[in-house]
Amino acid sequence: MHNATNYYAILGLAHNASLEEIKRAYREAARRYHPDVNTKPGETELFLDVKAAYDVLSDPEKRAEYDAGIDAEPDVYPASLEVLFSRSSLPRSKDHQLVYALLRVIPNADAIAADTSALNVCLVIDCSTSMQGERMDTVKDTAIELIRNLKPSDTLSIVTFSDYAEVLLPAGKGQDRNALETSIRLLHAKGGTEIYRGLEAGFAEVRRNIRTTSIDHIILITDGRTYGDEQACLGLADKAASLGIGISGLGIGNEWNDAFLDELATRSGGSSVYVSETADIDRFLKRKFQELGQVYAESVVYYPEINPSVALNYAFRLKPEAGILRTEPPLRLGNLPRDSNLEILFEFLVGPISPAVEQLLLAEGRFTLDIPSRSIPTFNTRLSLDLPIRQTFQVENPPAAILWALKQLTLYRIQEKAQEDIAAGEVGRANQRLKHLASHLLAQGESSLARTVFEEIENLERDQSLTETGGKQIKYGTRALFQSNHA
Amino acid sequence: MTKCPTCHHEQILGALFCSECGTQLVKLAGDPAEKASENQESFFAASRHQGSNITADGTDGSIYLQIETSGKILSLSGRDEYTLGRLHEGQSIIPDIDLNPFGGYEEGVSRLHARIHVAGDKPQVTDLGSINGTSINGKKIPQLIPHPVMNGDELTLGKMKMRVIIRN
Repeated sequence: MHNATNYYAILGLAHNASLEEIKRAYREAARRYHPDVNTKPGETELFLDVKAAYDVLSDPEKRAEYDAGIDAEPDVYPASLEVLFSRSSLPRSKDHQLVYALLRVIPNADAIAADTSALNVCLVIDCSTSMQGERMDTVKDTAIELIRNLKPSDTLSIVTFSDYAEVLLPAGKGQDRNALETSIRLLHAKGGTEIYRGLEAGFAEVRRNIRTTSIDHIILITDGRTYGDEQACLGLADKAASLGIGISGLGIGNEWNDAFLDELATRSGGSSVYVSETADIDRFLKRKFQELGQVYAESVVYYPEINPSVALNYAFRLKPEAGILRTEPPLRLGNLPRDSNLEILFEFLVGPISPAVEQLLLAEGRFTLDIPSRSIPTFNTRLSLDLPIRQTFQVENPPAAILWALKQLTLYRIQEKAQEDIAAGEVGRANQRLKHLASHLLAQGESSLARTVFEEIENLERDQSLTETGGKQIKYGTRALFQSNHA
Repeated sequence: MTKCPTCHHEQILGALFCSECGTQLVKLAGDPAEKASENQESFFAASRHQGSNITADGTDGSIYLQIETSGKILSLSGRDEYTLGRLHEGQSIIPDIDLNPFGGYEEGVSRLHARIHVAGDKPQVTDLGSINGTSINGKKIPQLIPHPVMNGDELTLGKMKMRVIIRN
């Protein structure tokens, strides 16, 4: 039943939600719709609805009365969740064991026909001295092209930063796009790289323009390292994530701090990409805008409670964009496209299983996503990952999709270990790992990446380290294996 | 605990790939890699019985390499691509097809010499940075760039000559 007083829908709750869930949903909704934050006309009422819904549902008596009066038919969740495991059951073992789960979030058939959402995107462009020349020119050209391709309903803001940040184009309607093109043309590079200043200004622009119906995203383009303000940047990313704003990073050349940019993107469910050739800047930005235009649901988040005898070792997004996720809840999974799935591979390490357990719950919790085209955007459901226990070990063939994904992930992790070994001074072990990596890449037909690995093996033997460029190429190259092969 | 067949690293229960060397530890039903090695064995068995003048027909859509000196025929079916080279003790890079039994070392075949891509209707050969190079019909092909081959072409790895046979 959908009507104006469906309190469960307003809070994005299932009909059997617990009091704890109701309270949590209210706090989240309040943070989003509170008039102090949300100054859009007409949306103050949204907050009043949220408040009214909470007043009824948080009071057991009022809730019982309300429940009696409504149709108990559950709301249709806008996507289906499908889970594949590497095994159909777990053997009862005193040893630790690994199990893999592939989560597929599949948009409902009506997603294709849903209204496309307006974009609310800020480009945060590094204008430090090192960007001078071809890099800056390419960014400028691409930015101008993006502006020309915007729909009237889209909002684009542009922030440039070096030692300080400047809002070149504030977010808002009625932008003079011709004047903007001129000011982009006149941009020139000078000064250092202080990412926090840029991000902070970009965040302010996107936040000022958040509507429940918009896809909100910050795209950071940088070629440098930031010094001392990393923690402030990560704090800002967390804040952005809680408001449903994603951050993606584009690192150009070989100077930038990849671990930092990855972390920044990971915290908000965004993605980070490495570009070694200037020509790829254009390709990345256009693809990013196209993807954002295809978003059906944003802020897809899983809030699992993980069984204390189980550890989530790894969470990796396979689709739509390859990326590593944080393993501490909440797990921000990213955006769900309207025409494709969102796919996440989890690796769980299961501890000894006691004789009393018949069914092992790996993780269980709330799963939410926001559909910007709906008047009440947040949809909640619950997702539990559990497997039956068997007395004995049985040989089982894992599903092809898991095997394939894990094959690529294994290569990524071999390079990760090799880079860790190098950092720890274990050059010999790193060398061995890189040789394994190269032979697997060759066997998969990835000859140019394999050649980079061979070159870096030589560099490693000579200099006891990888080159900055080679190290990044191998890292982002193995990560991109998901993208290139995944039809 | 099981051990990785390649590097003997001990594996945790439930692992699908060796965390050290990346070797796949489980098999899919009807895994193409498994099928390929079976094919190869049966083909070798057949060629031992029938001597060197075997011709490869009666098989659907397959590609074969006939070693010129011995007349031995290698079947390349069941898999999208094969790497050609020489097996060498203690080496992490293992070619799919070991040319040592056919005099690969004497003929100057590198350990990882070339790759032949079989899938699709146009097979392609890529030299993987070999020392003595790869030629097609006597013409040297550049490294790391796939080059198409046709039925009857003469493929030379180092000095080892072989004939490409394609049956549709």
